[in-house]
Order: sequence, then structure tokens, then C-alpha cells
Amino acid sequence: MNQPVLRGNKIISGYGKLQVINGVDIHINKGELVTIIGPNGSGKSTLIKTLIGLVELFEGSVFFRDKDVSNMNPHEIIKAGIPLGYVPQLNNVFPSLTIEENLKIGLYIRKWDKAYQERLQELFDLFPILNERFKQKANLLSGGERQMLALARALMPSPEILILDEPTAALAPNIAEEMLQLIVSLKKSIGISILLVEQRAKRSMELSDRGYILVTGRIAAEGSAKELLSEDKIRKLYLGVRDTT
Amino acid sequence: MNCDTNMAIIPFDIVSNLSLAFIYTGMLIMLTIGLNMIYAVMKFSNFAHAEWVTLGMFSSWWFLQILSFNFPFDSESWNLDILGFSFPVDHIINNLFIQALFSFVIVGLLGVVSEFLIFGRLKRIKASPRSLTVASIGIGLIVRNLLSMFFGDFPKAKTVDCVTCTDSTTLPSWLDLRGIPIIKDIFPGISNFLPNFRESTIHIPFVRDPSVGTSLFPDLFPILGSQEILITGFELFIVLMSIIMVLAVDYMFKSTRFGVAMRATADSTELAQVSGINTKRIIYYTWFLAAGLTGFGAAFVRANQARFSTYGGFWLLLPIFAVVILGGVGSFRGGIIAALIIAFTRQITNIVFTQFQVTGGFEDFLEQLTGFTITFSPNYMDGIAFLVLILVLLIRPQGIYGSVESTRERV
Repeated sequence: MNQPVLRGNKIISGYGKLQVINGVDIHINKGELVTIIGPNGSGKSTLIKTLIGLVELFEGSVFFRDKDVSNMNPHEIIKAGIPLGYVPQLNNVFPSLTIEENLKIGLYIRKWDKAYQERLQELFDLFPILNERFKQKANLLSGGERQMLALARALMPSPEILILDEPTAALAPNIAEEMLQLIVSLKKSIGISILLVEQRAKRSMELSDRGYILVTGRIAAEGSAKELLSEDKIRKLYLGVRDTT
Repeated sequence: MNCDTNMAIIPFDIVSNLSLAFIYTGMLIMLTIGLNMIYAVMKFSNFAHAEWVTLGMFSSWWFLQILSFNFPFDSESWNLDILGFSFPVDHIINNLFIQALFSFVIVGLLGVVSEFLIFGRLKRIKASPRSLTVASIGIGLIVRNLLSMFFGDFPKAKTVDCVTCTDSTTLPSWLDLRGIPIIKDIFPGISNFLPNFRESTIHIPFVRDPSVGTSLFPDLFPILGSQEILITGFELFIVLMSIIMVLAVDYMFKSTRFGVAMRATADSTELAQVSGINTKRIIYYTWFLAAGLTGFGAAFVRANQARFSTYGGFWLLLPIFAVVILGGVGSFRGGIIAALIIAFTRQITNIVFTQFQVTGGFEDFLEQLTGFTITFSPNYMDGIAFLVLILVLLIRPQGIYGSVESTRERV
């Protein structure tokens, strides 16, 4: 068994006095694509924000490999050298910054030197549109292009784990499918671990290795994607499949 | 060529008024930088900016008074020659740069304290930009009233022949530090690095008569007759320094790592944090820099005014806001153009309306024509400047250099 890249133990977290996550255990192994699904308001985004220090951890612990990052601020986690990339659901790019500046911010903690230029070229191979519109402001990009920029920014520091919060939100169905395929190809081509929160529950689970189903801040079910996809109750309740015959 | 003779020949010296417009432009540019920075990064209108200006005026004046009270040096001076420019060098107490730096720190700290005690807490509880704006009005009132409590709500006059007013200081006895060693003795030569403005002049080659005023390029525009642009070396210095300041800040904001981090923090604090930016630190630096630069500029503005009061910044607030909006939020270079538009509109209105009021002028003509007396007071110049502002905004609502997005969600 792989050593988990990311591990959260008995996480209890929330906002102020409001407790949203109620004792969740979660882990992501190296090279895995793990999806968290669940109804609206179940705490999916809060859970991943807790893992990266954006939401206050009341109890429990978070480890990136052997490093305890519980109660660390996000910038402290990044500065500690934790190889992490995160794409939020909303505001996933800096709109008033150019594409160039967005990508520079992705590598903020390092010098913008030759290594930055080399990394830039690698990402231009993955996302050629960003090269074409390098000097334009991010607010001029379409929804799909923005997601590409957000992904590229998160990939700039060559992270070991990528955390994506609903990357297909507000995208047209065909673009959303392209985005999911892109995520899978990233996993295969560079062997990155990916933690994905998705509303397109069935499709994302089909593409994943493992999954968690979160309901009212608790894990209602977990297991390999195949197992989850094969359970009738889960298919009916959480994957939106009516015909189970 | 004598300036007085020219003014006697032509009733209103149009060309010399241009210098007033340039000086006002320089002053506006210097005082606008801080407000624009807060507008762009914090995304709310900071009305306390007026009191940053006032505190900058007062703190530079305090510093001068305290030093001159405790370190009454003689005023021997000598000339420092740099690249053909000759700077009269005096002791540290008369050095406006040192006073302005003191104001930079004091007002900068006020900005940091405002963030720590009020704005930061309001943002943490998700207060709207409107709430922050109202809070800033409150902070401004408190600072202004505190200044009134300690220093009285009256103008501080300065003597005509001494820009930095080192004479006749009256300070409370607890500020008397005469027992301690004099800075000059500890760091000999420290005061000789920077120019001072005691004599109100910089000896620039085209300056003719530094003690009265100076004549710039008198023979270049013969169509304007023998009129001359009157400007003191100090005023010229304010104009040039304001442009240098604004270009430096613009470069910092657009091209440096810190500037990119500032703009990223303004766009999305959450995303900036997960990119490794210590957003809290960036915000404190922004407050310190924005408030500090305002205090720095205010020290020079004070030194160029005959008197100042606790309302010194308040009366400048509207033109300062006008420049930020007209130039485009977050665009410092746009601020230069906007300041020129506002300042020149004011000054041209002043010239034209003064001409209207001359006996037999347009005012009299209108009265004969209509039977009504309509006054064209030069005091309406601010109103006309704002009329131009509105007209420009109708064409470009985002300001001259601003983007549409940057004007959204701001009060």
C-alpha cells in the first residue's frame, strides 16, 4: 500500500462557532484520482479548504506525507515546501492580472528565473491557448480558458497533489467533459495525485480510482469507484441514476 | 525683463497662472497616490485620507518644532554641487526631506493601526465596502478632533521668509530634550546629504531670481508677449517630485514582485494565500505605504502653504477623489492626466471668470442684455472642475486609464 500523499484524521472544522465537518477521515495515495461527491451543503468545499488551511480546524490533524500541517495558514503550508496545487470553485484566477502574472503568482515562492521559464514552456505545451494570450488580462478569457489558466497556475510549482473544487462548474457540457478528460490525462501523464470535488457525480466517479460520499459533514460511504458505482443505494441517492436494472 | 512691469501692462497674467495650475497638479498627484492605492487594493473609499494629509502636515511641523526647540543650531550653510546643480546644505532640523520622512512614518503607522484596530476586524466579519467607507469617515473625524484637542483648531502661520519655520517655537516643557547629545556631534556630516529649502530655492540654471520667483523660458513663446511663468524652485521641485513619486509607485505596482502580490491580494485573498502570499503582511505593507506616501507628500504641501489647519486635508479631499476617479482606479499614470485636467480647469476658470468680472466685461454685458445680475466668481472653479469630471465620466465611466472591472463593487 502506498503512503498517503495527503491524510486528514478525524477532522472537525467550520466557520466561527458553526461546525460543518464532523469527524472525517480522508486520505489520497500517490497517483490516485479521488473524488468527493455529496449533496449541496454537505461540506465538500469546506473539507478541502480545511485540508489546505483556509478553514479553521477545530479538532483532528492534517498531514502532507509526514509533515503535520494542522492549523497552518495556506501560505505557511506553501512556504514549508509542501507540493500542493489548489483550484477553487469560484474566483479561480486573478482577473485583473495578465495570464503571465497569474502564472508567475503560481510560482510566487520561488524566483522567476530560468526554472520558471522552463516550467512555463512545459505548461504552454499542455495549454497552448495560454501562450497565445500571454499578455492579456485573465478577465478577457472564456469560462473554459479560465479553468485552463487556473489549472496551469496550480501546476506551476510542479505539485505532487492537485486539489480541484468543482472544476466543471458553469461550463458547457462538452467543455466540462473535456475538462474531466484533461484531469484524467494529467494524472496519467505526470502521475500527479488529484483530489476532486464534483457535482457531476456519476461521470467523475467513473473516471476516479476511489471516492468519498459526504453527507452533512460526515462520510456516508467510501471505497473504490467500482464499488461505489455498483451499489444500488448509492447510485440512486448520490449518483442520480434512476434505472438500476 | 521685469515681471511687475508685465503684469501692469496686461491686467491678468495668463501665463503666470499656468504655474499655479502646475503647482496644484503636483500637489494633487502627490496626495492622490495613497488614496488610489487603497482604492485599488482594499476596494473601498477611504475618507480618512483627508486626515492622513492633515496629520502629515501636523507631524512634519511637530518634528520641525521639536528639533528646532531642542537642537538650536546655527544656520551656517554651504553649497553641495551635484551634476551641475547646486544645493544649499543646512542642518538636519531644516531639512524638509527629514521632516517628510518623519511624516511618512507617523502617518504610515496610523494606516497600519487603522487596519489592525478597525478595517481588518471589519473585513474578518465580512463587512461590506460600504461599512468600511463609513468607518473611514469615523476614523477621519476622530483624528481631526484629536488634532484639534491637542493643537487647537486654528491655522498655524509660518513666516514668509522661512519655508520651514524654525523660529518662535513654543513647545511644552516635557518635550525639552536639551540634556541629550546633539545629533550633529554624534553623526558629523549627517545633515549634509540632502538639500534643504530654508531659502525656498534650488539653484537650477534657468532660475533667475530665486528670492522672488523665477522665470522659465521667457523668450520661447513670443506670442504671449513678455509674460513669464513664475515659479519658485521649491514649487518646481514639488511638481517634479510628484511625477517621480507617481511613476515610481506605478512601476512598483505593475512590475515588481510586491506589486503583483498586492494586486493578486486585491483580486482574491484566498487564491493569493494558497499561492504562498502572506496576504496579511501585504495588506499591512499597503496601508503603511499608502498612508506614509500621503504623509510624505503632505509635508511638502504644508511647506508650500502660508498656513494650515486641522481642515487642511479635508478641503483637498474632493479634488483628490476627483483625480482618482477621473484617472481610473488603480491607474497611477492616469492620475497624472486627471490631476492636470482638474488643476487646469480650475485655473482657466479662475482666469476667465476674473476677466468676466472686469468693469465692462461679460458680467456687465449680461446684466445690460437681460436685466439680471449673474455673478461669475472665480470661487466657482471647483464646481467647473467637477463639471468637466462628470463630462469625462459620461464618456469613459471607468476613468481615463481605468478598466471597467476595477470600478465595480466600490463605494
